[in-house]
Amino acid sequence: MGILCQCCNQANATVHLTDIQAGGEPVERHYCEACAAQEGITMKPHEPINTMIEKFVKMVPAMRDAAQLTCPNCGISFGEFRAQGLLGCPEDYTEFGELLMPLIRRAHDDCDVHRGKRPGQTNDVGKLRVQIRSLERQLEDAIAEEAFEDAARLRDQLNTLRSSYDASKQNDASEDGA
Amino acid sequence: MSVDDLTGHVGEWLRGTGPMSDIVISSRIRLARNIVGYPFLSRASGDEKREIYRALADALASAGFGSNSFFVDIENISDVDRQILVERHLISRQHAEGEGSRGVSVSLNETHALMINEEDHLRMQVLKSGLQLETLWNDINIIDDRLASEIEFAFDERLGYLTACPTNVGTGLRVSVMLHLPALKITGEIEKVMRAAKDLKLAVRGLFGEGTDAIGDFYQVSNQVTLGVSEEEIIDMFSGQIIPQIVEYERAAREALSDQRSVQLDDKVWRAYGILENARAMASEETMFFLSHLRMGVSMGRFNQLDIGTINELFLQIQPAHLQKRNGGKLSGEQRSVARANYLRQRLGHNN
Repeated sequence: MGILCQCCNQANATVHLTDIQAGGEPVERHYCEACAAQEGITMKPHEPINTMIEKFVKMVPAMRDAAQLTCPNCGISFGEFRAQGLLGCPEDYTEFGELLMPLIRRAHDDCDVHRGKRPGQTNDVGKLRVQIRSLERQLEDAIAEEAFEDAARLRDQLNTLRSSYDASKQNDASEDGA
Repeated sequence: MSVDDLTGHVGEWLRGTGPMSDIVISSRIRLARNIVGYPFLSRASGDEKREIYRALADALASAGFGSNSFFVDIENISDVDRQILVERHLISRQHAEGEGSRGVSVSLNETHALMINEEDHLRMQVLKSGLQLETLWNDINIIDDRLASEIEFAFDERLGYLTACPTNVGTGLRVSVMLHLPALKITGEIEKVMRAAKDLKLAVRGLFGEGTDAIGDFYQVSNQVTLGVSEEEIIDMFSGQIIPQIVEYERAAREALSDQRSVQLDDKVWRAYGILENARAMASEETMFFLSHLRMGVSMGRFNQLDIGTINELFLQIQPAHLQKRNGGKLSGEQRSVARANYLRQRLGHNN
């Protein structure tokens, strides 16, 4: 025989609460299901799991709509792209825009801006970058080996290269702006 | 010039020359490009694939890639011929097994192979023996520029070169260096190296690329990040840091084996030689295993009856399509094992 509901004193109590009073004293309370519902203590019976999932998906309409978003140029939907891993045309990068960016960042170590060659670019800047890095390595080695004369020479060379690197980058920038 | 003319010799990339060629078999750089105005290949119709094929073949011709190269129409050659090109690393498996119009332009010395209609409209690749990434970048950069003056590639100001798979976007550049690492395998340190490579966001694959095992102790190390770094930075990281570091590990492992386990080491090498020159039936994988040990013996100076170039050539000539081409017809797996053993006995000199 269980505890009786403290409200109706008839049915068995199935809902058990522990309240902390103002003085910090715990007080136990016991209700039957009907009285608990009347008092507004219990929640409605559990919803079936599929209803809950459906509600969750509706909470994030972006997820549902994204899969259906379709490129007007090639006709591929974002869902189809996700299934096959290949895009349908170069325009997809614009059409799917921000949907694609998280994937791109995950694949590319958090990067999302191209820093390499452009069609028709002369590669003087790139060559300078390679030379600078190579000199930087040699300089580190020279310092580690305490070959300070070499280090001084390398540092001078580096400074010259760095200033022409900065100059050619500025040239690039002004050409881009033109 | 056709596929038939290739099989008797090896491409430049297997000659066993070039920097660090005791351990670095070959270096490869590929660029992925697509031409504007067409869908990527998964959404392209048969007609569109033909148009892309024609447009790129024309661009190659007018950019001057006819004279020292030959062009292969992949759609209309035999399965064995496609497989020959795969074994020579001139096309990918995906390209061999694809559908519709597709082709490849190959330079006579096999240092460049420009694939039309693979995963992207154009996949250009250059390959050479040893660690030669700077030279390769110089070469492929020129090829890219020459083609770009003939045809317009899909390019976005923010994202760079646009590719069918977003994992290639940006530079579209993939560096792959093929390494022979038998000593690290024997000492069991290979796992450590592979884990370190993966931490650096590098892919490690087997001899024939994606999805293949590291048979014969060959490992292909390549970059996965193509966006946010320049071509030179990727190349510099490989030739300045990653590859020299792995080569150093392999050399240290070889030295440790020579110092501490020289009898066992020589035993492995000579056993491999004994089996390769005497067996009557050799499966492909087991041949790769023993050739790997023999190659290690040669490159460590412990076995002097063969040179690296010859061993590299054997690795190629014992592949299924090369065996069948030499035989002049299709062979079953069992027949291939016999043909492979016969070939090895012939090449290793003794007519026993």
